[in-house]
Amino acid sequence: MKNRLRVLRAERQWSQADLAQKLEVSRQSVNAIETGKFDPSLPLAFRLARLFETTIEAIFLEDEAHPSA
Amino acid sequence: MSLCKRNLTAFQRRSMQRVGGLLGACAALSFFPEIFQDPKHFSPATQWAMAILSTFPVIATMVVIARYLTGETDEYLRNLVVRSILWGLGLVMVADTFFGYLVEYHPNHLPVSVFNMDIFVVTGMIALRIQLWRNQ
Repeated sequence: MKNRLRVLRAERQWSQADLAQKLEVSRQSVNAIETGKFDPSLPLAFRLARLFETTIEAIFLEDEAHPSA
Repeated sequence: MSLCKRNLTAFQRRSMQRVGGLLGACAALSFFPEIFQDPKHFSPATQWAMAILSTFPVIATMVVIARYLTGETDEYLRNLVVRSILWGLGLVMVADTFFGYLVEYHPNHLPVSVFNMDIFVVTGMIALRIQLWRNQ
């Protein structure tokens, strides 16, 4: 699943470590989510949305190759 | 909260120390009968007691890992640990199958099943390290 996490983070000039600290997860988690290697759970997605003051849909983009049925 | 920079939380450190300690206990119990005397000279009751005793570190390790997985708040790390456990279990099964055939032809061969726990933990740790390294 694609996401705009890197863009949103860059807009706020936060490092991966900064974001990880705010989310209380490891920096590897942030990196894995940003690079699309790991899709976060709904609670973590909501935390991200709250942190960036936006919606989950504005952060995570549905993969065009595998749209939901 | 990063396993690859030795910047562990107290909970992660405690869990790793416990698994390490249990691995040591398991290794010690594996060689215990060999150190004192030929295990065949033990009474049947002692043999049973030794066999039951040797399962304790394995059970305790599973409990420690289960408690770690329940308590780990970082879902990505939890995911990596589960994958590492699967690698560990997979290699144990491969080793057991391989050496199981060898034992058929070489009955005096060292029973590798005694080292299942060691293979499991070491493989799991290596798999975890590799996965963390791949996602620097």
